[in-house]
Amino acid sequence: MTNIADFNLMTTQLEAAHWGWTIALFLWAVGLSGMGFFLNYWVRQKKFVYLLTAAAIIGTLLVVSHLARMLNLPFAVLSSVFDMALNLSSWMFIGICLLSLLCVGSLFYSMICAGILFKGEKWQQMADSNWFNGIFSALGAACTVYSGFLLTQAVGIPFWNSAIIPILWIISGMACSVGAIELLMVFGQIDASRVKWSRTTSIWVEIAELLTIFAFLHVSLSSNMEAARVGAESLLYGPNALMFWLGVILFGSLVPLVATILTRSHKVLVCTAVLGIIGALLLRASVLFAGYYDPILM
Amino acid sequence: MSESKKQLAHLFDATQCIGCGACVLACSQTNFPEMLNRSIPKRNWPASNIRKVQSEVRRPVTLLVQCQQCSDAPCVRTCPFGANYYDENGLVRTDPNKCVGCNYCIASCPYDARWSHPDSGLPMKCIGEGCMKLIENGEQPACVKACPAGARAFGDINDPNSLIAQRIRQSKTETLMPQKGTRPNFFVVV
Repeated sequence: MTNIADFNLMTTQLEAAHWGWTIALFLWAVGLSGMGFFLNYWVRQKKFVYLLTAAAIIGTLLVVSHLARMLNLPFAVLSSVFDMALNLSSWMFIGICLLSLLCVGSLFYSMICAGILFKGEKWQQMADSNWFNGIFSALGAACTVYSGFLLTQAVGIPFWNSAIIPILWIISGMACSVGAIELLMVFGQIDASRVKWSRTTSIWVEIAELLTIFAFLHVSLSSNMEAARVGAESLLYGPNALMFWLGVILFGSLVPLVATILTRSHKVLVCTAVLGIIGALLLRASVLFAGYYDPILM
Repeated sequence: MSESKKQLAHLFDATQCIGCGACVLACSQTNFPEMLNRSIPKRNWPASNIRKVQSEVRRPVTLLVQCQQCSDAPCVRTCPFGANYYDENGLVRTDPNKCVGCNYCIASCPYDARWSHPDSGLPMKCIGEGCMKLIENGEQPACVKACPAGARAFGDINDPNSLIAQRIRQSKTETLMPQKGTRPNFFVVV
């Protein structure tokens, strides 16, 4: 077994990929927006849609800002289309398509809600319909799943090559969205009678998140890939342990879970909702930062 | 997956390498002279497509690692716009016109062989444009030419008469990380 310091000497180039806080924030925003739209099937409140639209657009802007050749994007698309070189099996490509749909679609949804350009009874009826919200629900879930597969396909980093990550992103994104729903409810921005299920959902989602994190780490610790084990160890007692134990487990999951079970005080609810939302961000950041390349050994 | 009949490949002889670093510098000078006095951001190593790997975990070994020109390259599989591709010689190349600098290929490479150019944002790798010109002129890549110990070879491994094919036949060679299933075309004499 190699300790993390020795391991880092062999493989120090993770930062060369520049996947830092920008990508963590992007994954978080997509998770919030994606699973928010999934839950919006049962919520259907204007302010919630505005929030999710903002999250989708901010997330997309973050990932676009991360491109080292951002200005080449339109030319690259055109060149790939003309040469028929688009890689339909790349999760990055699938994600670009899904994110574009989410941004345009959520903006359209918000404009209907706000009565901008798409005014009238016909548009409102459409925004309230099951099929319309069903499409957004599926699109939101697909975007969240994509943000998980984006990591699993990066085969250079074994810690990320786990099928549990998309599931973890879904559950954590749902916890984050329920937190947002509760915040809006406490501040009277959405009708409390529409989200009576939020407490029960929050409890089960937090429990599921803890179980999924346990499964993810357990699988990684049992891996025959050294970098996967070192990644898990860095979360448990390595350089990312503080963020993981305090930010993700204690304040991001356990405290919101216990507080939600014990009380419905609005002040406590605000605190637990904020903690849950930040916890989802720190979960993504800690998993991202714990990614290491496998060392080349002979 | 690369289907070309010709397969250009590198050979690195770890038993002959004296660790002088001539290949590392020759790579920089030939492919990106503007980076000669600069290092790769957040990577404590000169800007080069060749990086040093030292390990004493199983046995003491120093390797100079670069793009493995994999026949089943993860960087080709993951690139969203098809900027990474196999050329007619079986080499993995990058088309700057199709690259948006997402760095997905950097995270996808198990050999950690790519790096992002701080000026152009292109994910750099062996073989660079300078070396491609040398190959097109019938010459050897810069690292092979610069090696004073003859520790390197380059050529078509599908041609049994090529120098590299002969050296592979005559020596005990290994490929790196075969468990990754990338079918690398970088042979290490051990």
